[in-house]
Amino acid sequence: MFVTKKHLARRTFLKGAGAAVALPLLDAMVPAFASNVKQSPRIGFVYVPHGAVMARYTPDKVGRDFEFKDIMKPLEPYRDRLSVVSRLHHRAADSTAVHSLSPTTWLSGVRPKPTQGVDAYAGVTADQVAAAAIGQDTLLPSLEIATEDHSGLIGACDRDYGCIYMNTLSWRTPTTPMPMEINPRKIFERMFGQGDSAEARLKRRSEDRSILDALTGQATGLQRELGAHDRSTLDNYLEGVREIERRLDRAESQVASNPDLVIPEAPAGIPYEYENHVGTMFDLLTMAYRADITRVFTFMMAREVSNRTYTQVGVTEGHHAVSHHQNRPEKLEWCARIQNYHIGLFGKFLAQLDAIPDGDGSLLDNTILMYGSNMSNSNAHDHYPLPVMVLGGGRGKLKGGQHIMAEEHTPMTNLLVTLLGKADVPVDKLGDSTGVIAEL
Amino acid sequence: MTLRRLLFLGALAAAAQTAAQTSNDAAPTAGPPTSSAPQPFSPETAKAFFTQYCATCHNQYAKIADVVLDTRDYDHVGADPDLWERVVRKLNAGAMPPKGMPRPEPAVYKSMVGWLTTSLDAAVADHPNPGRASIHRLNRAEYGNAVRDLLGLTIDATDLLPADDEGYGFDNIADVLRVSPSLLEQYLSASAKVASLAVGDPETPPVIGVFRVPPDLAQGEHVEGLPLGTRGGILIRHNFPLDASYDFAVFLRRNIVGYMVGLEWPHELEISIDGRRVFLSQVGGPEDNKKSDANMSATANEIDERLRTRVFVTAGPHDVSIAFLERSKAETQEPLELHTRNLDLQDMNGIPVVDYVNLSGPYAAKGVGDTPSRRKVFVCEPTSLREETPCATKILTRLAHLAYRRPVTPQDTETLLDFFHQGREHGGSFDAGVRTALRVLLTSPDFLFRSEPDPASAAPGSLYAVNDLDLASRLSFFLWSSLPDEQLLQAAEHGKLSDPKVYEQQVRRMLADPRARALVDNFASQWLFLRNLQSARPDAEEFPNFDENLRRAMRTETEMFFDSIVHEDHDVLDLLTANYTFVNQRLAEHYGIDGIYGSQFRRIEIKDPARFGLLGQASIHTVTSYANRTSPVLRGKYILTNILGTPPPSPPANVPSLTENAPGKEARSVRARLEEHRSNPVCATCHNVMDPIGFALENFDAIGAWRTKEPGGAIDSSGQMANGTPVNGPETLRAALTADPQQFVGIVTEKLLTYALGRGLEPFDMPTVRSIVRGAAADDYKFSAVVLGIVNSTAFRMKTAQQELTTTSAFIPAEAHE
Repeated sequence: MFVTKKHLARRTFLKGAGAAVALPLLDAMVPAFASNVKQSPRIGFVYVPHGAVMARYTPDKVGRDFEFKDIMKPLEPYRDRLSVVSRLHHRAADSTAVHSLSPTTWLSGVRPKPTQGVDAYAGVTADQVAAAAIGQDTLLPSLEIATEDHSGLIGACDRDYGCIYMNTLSWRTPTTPMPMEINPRKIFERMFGQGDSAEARLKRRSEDRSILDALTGQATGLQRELGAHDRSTLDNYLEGVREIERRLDRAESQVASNPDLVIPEAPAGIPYEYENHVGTMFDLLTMAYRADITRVFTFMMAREVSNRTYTQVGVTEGHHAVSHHQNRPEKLEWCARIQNYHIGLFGKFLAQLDAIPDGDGSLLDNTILMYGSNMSNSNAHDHYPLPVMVLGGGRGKLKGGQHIMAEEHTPMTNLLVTLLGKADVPVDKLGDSTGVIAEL
Repeated sequence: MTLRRLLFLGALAAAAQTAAQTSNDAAPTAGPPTSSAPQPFSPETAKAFFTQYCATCHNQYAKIADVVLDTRDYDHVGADPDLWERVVRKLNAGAMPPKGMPRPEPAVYKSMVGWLTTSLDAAVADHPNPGRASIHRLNRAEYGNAVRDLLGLTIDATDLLPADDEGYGFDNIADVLRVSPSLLEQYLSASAKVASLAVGDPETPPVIGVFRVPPDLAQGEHVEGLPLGTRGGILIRHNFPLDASYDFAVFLRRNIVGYMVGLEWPHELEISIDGRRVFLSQVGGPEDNKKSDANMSATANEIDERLRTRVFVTAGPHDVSIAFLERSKAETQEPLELHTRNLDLQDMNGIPVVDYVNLSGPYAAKGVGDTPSRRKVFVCEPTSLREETPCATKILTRLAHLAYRRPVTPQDTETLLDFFHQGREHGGSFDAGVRTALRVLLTSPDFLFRSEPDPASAAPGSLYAVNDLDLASRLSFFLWSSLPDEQLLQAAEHGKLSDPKVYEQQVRRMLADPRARALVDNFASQWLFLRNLQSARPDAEEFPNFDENLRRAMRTETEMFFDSIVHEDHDVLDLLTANYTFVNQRLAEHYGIDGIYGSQFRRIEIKDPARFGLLGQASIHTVTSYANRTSPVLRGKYILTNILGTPPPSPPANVPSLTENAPGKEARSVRARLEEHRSNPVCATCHNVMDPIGFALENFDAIGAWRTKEPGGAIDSSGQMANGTPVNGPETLRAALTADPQQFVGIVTEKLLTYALGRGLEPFDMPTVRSIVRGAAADDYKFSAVVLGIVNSTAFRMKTAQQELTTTSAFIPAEAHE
């Protein structure tokens, strides 16, 4: 459980002492904190739709010292903390529902129930398995984010599998899809509270505390006049007040235990430019890891059937349109450029993580990341062999620098089970898994 | 099969034999009165009645449905309302004895019901029981209305707060409205946003808001609320936080391959604010078209970039309309493919339509401006430092009076002023102080909860009259889903509500007030399942003509209809029998009514009697159907639950779904496919009651259009009511449902009483319901008569003082820990 057991005198905040009081009090806790936090496992999943041009992706040589082909090139600097696993298969996604199933099955390996929505039933996903195990001590057990939503596609996803399966990568329970937040401002507010500057947030937290204090007084006063049954309703109210105070405490400590953490301005909303949007999202994820706000995330970098154009790399047709390349050279070229571009943006995230010291190394050394897609040849809509990479040092538990060629049609869930194990989340089986990827 | 089922079937068989015998024998020697002149019942004859007609199944051994009628105390029927009210319900609907068993004459039914209810009513009259009134949290709708009435600010509470749980069909049931930490957090966060908007905050940061147009909204027609002469688009009612500049960016729809449709001809997109045009731009035409053919994605991007503008807007609520100017009615495919939903994502044809709009700002803010909410809040403005505290006191005590719905105590004032000073100091302005104090107001349990402490003088368990202030809140939350206004509070504070004339006057005033619209938005929309229209997704192949335009139109019709019943104080039965309704062109075409043009709704007289009343309205038909077909079962259940007041029990587990018509095989009608319900005796008990009612409405398809054929043959709308009355089509169904007016008025009363009390009804409430219905009968069953009956009932005006527990509250303040 969290270390914060100090209970600050409420009236201190009323007097507007703010940060000046907070730091000395919490400083004493920081050392214990720091060592605790930095040994915790971290895991994250980054998804792109529409597969990859496998010929320009999968390294030729198996094992070590393979050559980075052009799509993967931006990640060459991280060779020692990177592994490509090839010949993985997601049978759960094999169906006539070409796009609808890809996101929902990617982290579960379970084909969901065919339905248009209300009675959806899918497999619990790896990230939520992790969140349940290692995410309970942090402010947010997990974070699910994306850059586009699907609200423009009512009833028009697939005949059998409704849009609910295309909208998310993450299922907390078979009937609870996790909504993926696309607005960086909302994510920021969840992470840090409301207020556009650290000062504003601090003011806001202190104001919240004062209000909670007053509310406690009012509620207990009201309780005295009521009968037993009604008193218990107000008990819930008071418990709620206490719980929020605890969360404020937690938020305070997180900020205070990272005194040199510079929290940027709150984003205004969803940026128009894609690169800006993705960059902001990766910044938030970096911050989330750094301040131990969460240890588990899933990020859908572009949505399934996204038709975004990538004019910044000279592709003027929509992504989905281009992904139906019909094996024409110029379209294949465009696909590769988009895929390379995405990986480039992801590479910047790795650089950010690598620049932050964490324990004996960097954040990247102590993280497990998985990057990939649930489609292989986008024109054929097949789900084998899947393009997927593992990044990060995993606190020394991941063996990098390899191209691991698994047995043909090895379930991708084997990889998920392996990664969960490395993140101190031992599971025997996930979806259709048959074992682990021993080479990792 | 369970033992009980076996016994039941055995009983059925035995009874069938007995029935066959009795019909052949002479009349029994002793027994219940005959139809020629039903004599009033007595305990002895009642016992004989139940033994003859009911005890075959409902005896102490078989205990079918847990109802035992042979070993009962018939001398004290009133002492067991749990059982006898159930019996009354079944007898009223004629639902028992079940089909196939010998039944008494209708007059005998009535007589028995009369005998039972007399006893039950007398028992309650001796020991009135208002039921429990628990502390009651404001639900989301009430929070939004309270903010509107308190601060003059119309917000979308769905943005700020989560949906509430529902019970007994409504989301304002006290015991279901719990509080969780996450909800409290949202109240805290909402209070900051509301206070900021209401007072104005010069430091409001720019945010980007996204407003989407539903993809199944056909944009070839005028959308209600947008300027005449435009088509499609979106109306955004937005609260602009400051006098400042705001950016508008419009994004047009592209199909699944990224192609922006409709660029062949020039169109003009207009942005206007409160009816005043602020932007106009051309989209499409020969140049755009050529460019699009060369590179569709780049051109689409370029066009979207063209549709951006920055405009200065004053703070406060404004209507922003974004729409295309209407060129001609002939430019779309509409006349050929009437209202086909534009869900063919690869379609290259069509007209340009709006996909979504980004509204961002404020930028370069000039100040908080002059908004309706500022005018409402600032009843004074200090001109010097010395005036600040007195002015703040005036502002805050006035708001607290309304928000807390009671006189303000010195403690209240002290707390609010304390926060005012805090906010003043930290925020550096008078406004900042008011904002902070407002936050406390909006999260206070005195605002969020309606509590009615028992007076000290009331002995535990005793009955006392609800005091005037609490009564005022009960009235306003019932009729307005909001706070009492100044007038009502004043009357309460002066003890005037105890005067029946003043009380009635206030109730009538409230019913006539525009705020009574809440009865449509909250009561009717839940009672009639109208809220389910939002998620109705009729199958695109079966119903290509269903679009958002039709969905909105259906809902508006029923809402306006219910509103007219309330405002024109109709006979409640008009809900089923009225010969008028409200339509616009879209809905009229759907109903096959000629000569209605335009998007605005207007009242019409209905020529086709099949369409009279609620049961002729497409909204009801749609929410009682599946995506691809009608469901007589759903419709039967709906009528049983909402109109007859005899909801069927839940189905047994593992009932397989109905076999759908397989392509290639011969299609069977829905009725034929439901055959299993009738042939299997286990299913038949309930389905023989449900299905036949639903069959009477089979002419209305799954989206409410009239039909005479379905795959499988001509529509056969013949059926039967539970009491054996044959029906065939909507008119006979309606006649059967209104044959006994007290039945329908009774269910409306039950629903309205549930909503008014915020609790489910118990058997001991039924005499209250009956008494209200009788009272309303004297005034032609007018809606206001039902309402007055409710607000004058024991349940509404009286309370039982709570019993004390021996232990104290479980809550221990934090200071005692750690």
